[in-house]
Amino acid sequence: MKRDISIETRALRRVFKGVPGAGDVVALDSVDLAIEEGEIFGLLGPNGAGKTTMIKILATLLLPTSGEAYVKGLEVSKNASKVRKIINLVSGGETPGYGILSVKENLWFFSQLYGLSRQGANERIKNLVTQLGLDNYIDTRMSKLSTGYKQRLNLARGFINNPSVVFLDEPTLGLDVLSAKQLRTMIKSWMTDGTKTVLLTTHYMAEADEMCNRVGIIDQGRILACDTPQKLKAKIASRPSWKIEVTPNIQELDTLKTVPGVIGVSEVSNIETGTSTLKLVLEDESVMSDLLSTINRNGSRVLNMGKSEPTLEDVYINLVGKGLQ
Amino acid sequence: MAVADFLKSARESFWVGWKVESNWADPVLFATYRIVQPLASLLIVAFIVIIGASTGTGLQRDYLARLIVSTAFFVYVAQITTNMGWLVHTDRSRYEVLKNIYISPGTLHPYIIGRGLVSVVNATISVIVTLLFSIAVFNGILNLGIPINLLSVNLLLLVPTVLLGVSGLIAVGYMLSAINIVSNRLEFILGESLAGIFFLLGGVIFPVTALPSQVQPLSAILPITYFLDAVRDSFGLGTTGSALLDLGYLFLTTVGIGIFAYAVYRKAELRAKRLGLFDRKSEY
Amino acid sequence: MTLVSPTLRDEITANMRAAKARMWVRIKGGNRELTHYIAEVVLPVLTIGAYVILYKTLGLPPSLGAAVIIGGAMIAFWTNILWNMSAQWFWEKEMGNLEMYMVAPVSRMSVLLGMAMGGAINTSLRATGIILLGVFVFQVPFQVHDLLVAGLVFLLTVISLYGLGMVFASLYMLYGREAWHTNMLLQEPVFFLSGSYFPTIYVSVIPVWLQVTATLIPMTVGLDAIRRVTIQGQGLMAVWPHILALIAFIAILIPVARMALNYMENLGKREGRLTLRWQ
Repeated sequence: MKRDISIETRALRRVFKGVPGAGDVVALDSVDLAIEEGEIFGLLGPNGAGKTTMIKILATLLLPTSGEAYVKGLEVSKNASKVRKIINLVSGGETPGYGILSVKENLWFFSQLYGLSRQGANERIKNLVTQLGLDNYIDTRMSKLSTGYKQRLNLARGFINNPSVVFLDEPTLGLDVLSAKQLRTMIKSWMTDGTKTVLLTTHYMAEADEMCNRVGIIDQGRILACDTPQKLKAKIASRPSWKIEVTPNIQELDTLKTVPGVIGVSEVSNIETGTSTLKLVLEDESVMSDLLSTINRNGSRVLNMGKSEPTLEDVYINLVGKGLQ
Repeated sequence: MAVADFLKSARESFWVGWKVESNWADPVLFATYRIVQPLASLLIVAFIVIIGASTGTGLQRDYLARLIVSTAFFVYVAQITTNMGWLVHTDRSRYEVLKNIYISPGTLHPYIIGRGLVSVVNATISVIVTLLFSIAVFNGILNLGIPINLLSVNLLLLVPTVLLGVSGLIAVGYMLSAINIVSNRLEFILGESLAGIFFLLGGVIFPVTALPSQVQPLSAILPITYFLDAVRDSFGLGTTGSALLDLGYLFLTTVGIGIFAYAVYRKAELRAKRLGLFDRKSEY
Repeated sequence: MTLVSPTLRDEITANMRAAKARMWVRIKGGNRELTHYIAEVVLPVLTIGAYVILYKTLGLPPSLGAAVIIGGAMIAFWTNILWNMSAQWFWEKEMGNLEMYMVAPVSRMSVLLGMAMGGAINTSLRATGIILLGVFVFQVPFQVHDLLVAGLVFLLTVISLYGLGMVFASLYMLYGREAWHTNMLLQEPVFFLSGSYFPTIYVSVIPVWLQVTATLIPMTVGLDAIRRVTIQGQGLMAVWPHILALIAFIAILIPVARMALNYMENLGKREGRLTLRWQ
């Protein structure tokens, strides 16, 4: 079934003035994107890729330099007040209100910014508080909440007006595994009626893989690929992904990238054990012998190696040539 | 810690303070309010005296001279207490660097003092400009013949007075910083409250003998009272007797407040470590 | 999907709810800390006390002491307008809340209105405390013959002052530390010009040009009117020019605030500085 387009950008471009002498910064460069109603769409990219700029434009906080951005068919820069009635925004790591007010008072305040009636607001607050496990903290001042609970409150605030479109900018930033999982469950359960849309930005590949119907990979202001996680992974299935554990840590990671046939590499180091786990995307497996020699020349020894199922991280490495972390 | 290390840390902190308190804003704006603000305070009290004269009491020139000098030097009190009263809040909650400074080898002592010295430099600029402006306006433009002669100021008395007075005020600011480490939400009011108390009890715009007799003993234990007395003496405007006696009292009260401030700091530091307050963020 | 257009009545209701909620936050936040309330009443009384004693030392009439107490109460309003009204978007930005206001579907003027109403109510409580404490401690004379006119003059003064606060709030929206410095710049000079501690208009020793400049500040006009009604016992005939001037201030300042708000919001969105912190 063909669904309505909920979010759309056409040749969207945003340039910021750089520091003197450094030239302008192109945060978004001719971005075309169409997100359907009922989708959770993930924007994956490193810091400075343009994810937050995209969200700020769509959330009416920033004007584009050129191009167009639509939410539910409304051009955002011309219809800001109409767009605001149907959206909300949650930024990870932001303070969700006034420290001196309790959880309930903060939520009530934000419900009034969306014009909810007293009864409507109370019901909505009750539901959100239960869904997000904030029941025991309803009368606690926001300043006394832990980071995880503050972020739950932030999310509750973001859903207070039951928006049609929600922008989640790194919503699980700094959260522990359990809190992040609860937040993801809540977002997915809110999506069940098929009329809502989420645009999510994240650093976490697994989060995008688990939550998103489709993912756009963005780097230096350009969308490099856009599809379902399964299709993105399938596209690189012909290119083997390898996981190699080495010790001591690789000193010159760039030397591995220069090996012919290596498409991209990422590294996660473990300081305690003195090992590095390398993820590599290769043209084909004939590269392996050159690769292992280069690792040896770096003074590292292979402890473990094996082929791995392609992940979104491999897709990212394949496109950008390096990992996100 | 060695004295050289302490001085180096204080110097670096002064540099940071200068950057934070001046360079981020438009320098013209910064200079303007450093000068305009104290001038406006002075004009308020000076005009009260001038308007008073117009009601038939006659212009009390000596009184106006004392009032101008006292108000000009009160800028040290206002700026040091207010700015040092804010220091912990800005560095802990806004810039979130207090914990890093605390665990650095330099510790907080030279940092607080170095930051306080920024207020001293700023206040000194304000004091000089205020005095020059007063003479230009009241003796130049309005030709009121106020008996202030900057060329006959007793520098041998003024310099040690200012050094001692400023030391006492930095000790007060140091104590305010210590209190703010362990308190929550007092930063907005502590510095200004203290400046208000000093303004009322320190003999700034009227002699302390005009205060109700019950509160005069409070005035006698404040270093500010002797600081302003000695400053007026150095301008040849003293009314309370021996300048050296004022200087002696100023020295004693400054040492006293320094010891008290250090004791408060030690107590605050222990409490802050026990309760984990060095990285607490005030959220409003 | 079709979007249902809200009626004008819905829009007004939503905006009134937002204003009421912002007012509630201000009142609740402002009175939750007892230390702040005490400081905001006692602190001005310390300064007022110094000026009352100065007047006594100079042998001036006690009515001037009463004038200082009224001035001290109005200073509470001016301080509130500078730090809790003009600088409020700056505080919200520092706290990370500005973004939430900016994506909300209500007029920012409603939010400013809520802040102003909350600030006016909070400060009125404090101003009453200052006057009562001042009168009790310093025993200065007051005489009010026409409560209605006194109330009207006070109300118009407060509305015009908060109107000015709304203009400043809009202009400060994009600024960080500069807003702070501008506030510092506007504090003492306005105390001086508006006659908080002594009358600055209708006083022969103050140069005419300075008196004219002073009347550009709503507080100068309001203070003079309030003093006439509450200290000198005068009525409507004496203060009708003040009332007209205050109405004119309101009629100019509120639309200017709205224009400034729209202009600064658009400028911020164009330059990407709307929610940029740590400036």
